Amino acid sequence: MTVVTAEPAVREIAPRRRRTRDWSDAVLSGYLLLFFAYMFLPLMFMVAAAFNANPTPSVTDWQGFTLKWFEALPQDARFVQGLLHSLAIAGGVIVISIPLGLAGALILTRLQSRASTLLYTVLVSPILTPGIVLGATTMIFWRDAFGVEAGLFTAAIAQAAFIASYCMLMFMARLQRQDRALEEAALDLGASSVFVFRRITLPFLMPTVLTASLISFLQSIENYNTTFFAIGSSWTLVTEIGARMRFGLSPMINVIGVIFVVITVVAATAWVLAKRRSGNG
Amino acid sequence: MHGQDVVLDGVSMRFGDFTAVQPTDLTINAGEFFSILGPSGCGKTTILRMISGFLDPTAGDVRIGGASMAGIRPNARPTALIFQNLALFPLMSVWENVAFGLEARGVPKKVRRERAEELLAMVALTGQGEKKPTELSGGQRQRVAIARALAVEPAVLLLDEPLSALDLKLRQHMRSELKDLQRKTGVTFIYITHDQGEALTMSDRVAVMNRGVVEQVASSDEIYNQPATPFVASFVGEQNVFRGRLAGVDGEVARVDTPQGEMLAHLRGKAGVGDEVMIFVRPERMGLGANGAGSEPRNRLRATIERRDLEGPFVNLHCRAGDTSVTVHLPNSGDAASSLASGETDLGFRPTDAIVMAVGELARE
Amino acid sequence: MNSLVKSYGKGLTAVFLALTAVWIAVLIVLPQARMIERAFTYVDRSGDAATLSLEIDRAYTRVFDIDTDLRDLNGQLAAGQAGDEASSGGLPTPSLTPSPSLVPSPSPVPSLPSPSLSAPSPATPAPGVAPSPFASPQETLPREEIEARIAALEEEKAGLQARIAELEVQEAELTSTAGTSESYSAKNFTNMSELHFRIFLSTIVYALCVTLLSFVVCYPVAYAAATARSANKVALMMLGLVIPYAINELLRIFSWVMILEKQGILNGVLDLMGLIDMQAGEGMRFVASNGAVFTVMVYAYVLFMVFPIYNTIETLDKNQIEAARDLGSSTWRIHWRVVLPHAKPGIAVGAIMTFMLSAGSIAVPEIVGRGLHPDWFAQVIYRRFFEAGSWNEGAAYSLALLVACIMFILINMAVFRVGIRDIAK
Repeated sequence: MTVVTAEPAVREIAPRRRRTRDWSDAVLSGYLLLFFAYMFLPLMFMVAAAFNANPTPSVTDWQGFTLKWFEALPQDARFVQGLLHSLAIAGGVIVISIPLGLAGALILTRLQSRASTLLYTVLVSPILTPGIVLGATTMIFWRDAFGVEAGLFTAAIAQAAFIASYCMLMFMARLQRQDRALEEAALDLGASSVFVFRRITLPFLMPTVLTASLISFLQSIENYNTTFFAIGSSWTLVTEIGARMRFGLSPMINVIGVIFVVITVVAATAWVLAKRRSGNG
Repeated sequence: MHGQDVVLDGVSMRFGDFTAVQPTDLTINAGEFFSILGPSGCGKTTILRMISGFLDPTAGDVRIGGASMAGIRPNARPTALIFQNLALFPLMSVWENVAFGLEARGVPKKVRRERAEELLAMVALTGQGEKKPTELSGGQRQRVAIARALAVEPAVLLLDEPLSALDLKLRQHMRSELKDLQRKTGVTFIYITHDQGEALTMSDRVAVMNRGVVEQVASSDEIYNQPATPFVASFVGEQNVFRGRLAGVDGEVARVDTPQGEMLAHLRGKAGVGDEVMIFVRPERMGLGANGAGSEPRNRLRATIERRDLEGPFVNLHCRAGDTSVTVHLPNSGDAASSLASGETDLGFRPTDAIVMAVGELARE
Repeated sequence: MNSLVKSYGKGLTAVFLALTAVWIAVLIVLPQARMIERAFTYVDRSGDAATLSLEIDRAYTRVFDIDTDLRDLNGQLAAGQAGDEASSGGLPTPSLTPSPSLVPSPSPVPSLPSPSLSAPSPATPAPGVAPSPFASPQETLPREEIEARIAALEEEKAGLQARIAELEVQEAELTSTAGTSESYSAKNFTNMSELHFRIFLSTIVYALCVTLLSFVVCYPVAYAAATARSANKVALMMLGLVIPYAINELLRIFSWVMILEKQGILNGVLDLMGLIDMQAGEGMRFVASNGAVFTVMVYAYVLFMVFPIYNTIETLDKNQIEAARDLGSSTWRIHWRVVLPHAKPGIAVGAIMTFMLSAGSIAVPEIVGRGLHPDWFAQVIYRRFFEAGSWNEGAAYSLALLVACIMFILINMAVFRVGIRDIAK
């Protein structure tokens, strides 16, 4: 008798639990939809408005499809010059950040000392420092110490201060996966330390050098806060965008936005596809 | 290639409070196949790393070919090490791996290439030079590692359990290949292993280590037949162990009182009358009653047969005498004795087949 | 040190150590030290000089307001003309606006530490100055009236510029004769005006709000992405997160400004729905409201919260969730007892990054706030440096911001019990 009466009770619990689960799943799905709308709708508006003839970027007040803003962009000297500045700074940042990040990572992964945590803290501190503080300190320091006025150079230095830390973290992650026996084997076979580094350690780190360069490049191109403070009277593409936005909106910025979106979507899709392929194969 | 001798002179190694290797004197002769055998954590790898130069001894001196190695880095020592995981360079082709040591010495590429092919031929890998190490089988990778080490013409080749990753069949095959290679090259081989089969079959001499101490250095036969310590006796091969008290010594023969009765055995090492002692008898040296093991056994004990395992050429009888378990390996002769499977029986062994030692640490099963 | 020489040999170790030392010294410690030194160096300007510089600042602010109005008026004028002369549909780039100071030279000219000579950047009004009443003429005026107004404004502007020139000469004389005396003191901090201090505190409160909001918004997303079962769904969600993350911060802000502008999409939608009439100049000024700044800030930085949390939840054994569910735990309880504790390091990292970014954000309040919204502290720092020209006060304010961030990091580390190595990953 007890068994018979107990059974329906058990049966009753299970579906109810499933029902609450379906319900919470539905809420979550709905929320995700909202969230991604929040993320993407503004970007879509931005892209759409780039093709609107209306000189005030808009999608509601549609004045006809046009490509004139795209044609206008390359004729805008300040944007073009800003882009060149951005590229120059990004190049400088890579040249500075990769060796510094690499050196820091190599030291931190092998330093067996209490000082290593302190060293680590100092080396990652720029990541945790507000960008404007980095920009301001760099601007002050280079002017006071060397008489170097704020400009492209100080902008590159200020960016490198924190981008080098990102590079270091990437190199450290890679080095932690290295088989120490490989270096020992090379050493044991009579290779000098320099030869081991050149022939074993560096080739192992090469993929990370490439990804770290790419990420440094992107970080540098995108940076606003730090650059804004450190660049003085010069400008980059992004600070120029910022400057113009303060005076009102121009569809030219939408055009730049479209270019960014296209590059990002292509790159991100390629990245995901590559990742899935390597994951499957 | 010429082998050189390796001398450890009072070498010890401490890591903080932990002593990995107690002060050790050891001489490994030039051109010898020498094994260091011991359970994991006994200090054998530490010794290997001190010889190769990756660790500096806390005290003492390592000499190779008479020259002190103090302050000499691994890349300047006449040794080559074969790593447990082989440590083949994954980004290089097989021949580049083999020629790496030559590349480090600035040998021109053409010469390197030729030399690599010769060495690959020696280890039966002709034509595999362009492949990547990951494309080879386990045994082939093994041989690449050996060729890579031999390419630098070392005087001493150090091998750190290099066969442990292979399956049983391949392992047995590689044993004879390694032995042949050693004979062919005349290089001193120092072989680290926890596998007694490997050590006993390949080596000219074996050192057995436990807890940072070299307990015995001897030929394989001597290690098996005349173990110097209870640990060596119990670590190498199987043993029956009887505990008792030394009742008297007559020349080499000791009388021991055991719960199973008085037994006679050969005394090894120091023990005084009245001391707690252990008697070690190999299972294959024991026989059944009066019919056992050829000549007349002098030591006898009553035992109950608990289980019989047939192992082809041998029959293993697992018996119990009081609180001591006793194993007997009988040749599978097909007679009545070898088909006994239960009941009480007499067991016996000759005093010359038994060793008495003062109580000491036994190897764990 | 020995372990390094063992690994790399003497030569390479020396190279690596030298590079790291240069990095620490030139890029991290010395600039920081110089800023701290500046922060504690007080430059005593005589009261006259201070009054003068305040007056100059005021004048510049007024000029800016006039420029803004002029631009509006000219815009209306141009819009009126657009009907007559269709061919003149020029690009509305700022370079076409009439005022010379509006030619995009946005970047500050920080070359001169003395306020007297630094050309003020055409930025928003100085803190504490109320928004100009002329900021946004609501009604459309007849053409003559607009022209009259432009003339009046131009006149006022010319007067002001003459006055500024005069004042600046005075100020230059003052500073050259009286000189400035420098001394170490904490006055740069203690002299911080009540207004600035209030801005500092409210910035921290705002940043905390943004951090909390970001967490609330993104936790479900991180959870969903980390627990998604099908590989395709994961890939899709990652794409959905990576794409906005990779698009420039300013462009993300821009897209929102477009929506929130007075002539923007939100008002446009309201117009289409017939709730307002934009032709009649109706419309809500969404920009420059607290809500707008928060919305955009969360939008700009939410992904810095998503990824760290996603990374930690991903390492959680999903069977734990299943097990908890099987034992009859409510969804709420599962998150509280299983998922959240596991995600702690990720939450700490996300909170630190979001707080740091929003407390130090100058782009969002400057662009979305339009100077009409109460200031954020980053804007105050900017003005100290480039408008007031007082680098030492700027350094002091920067230091205050840095200390606030460090405090937040330390509190986070204590609350979430994570170490520095967990944080920077």
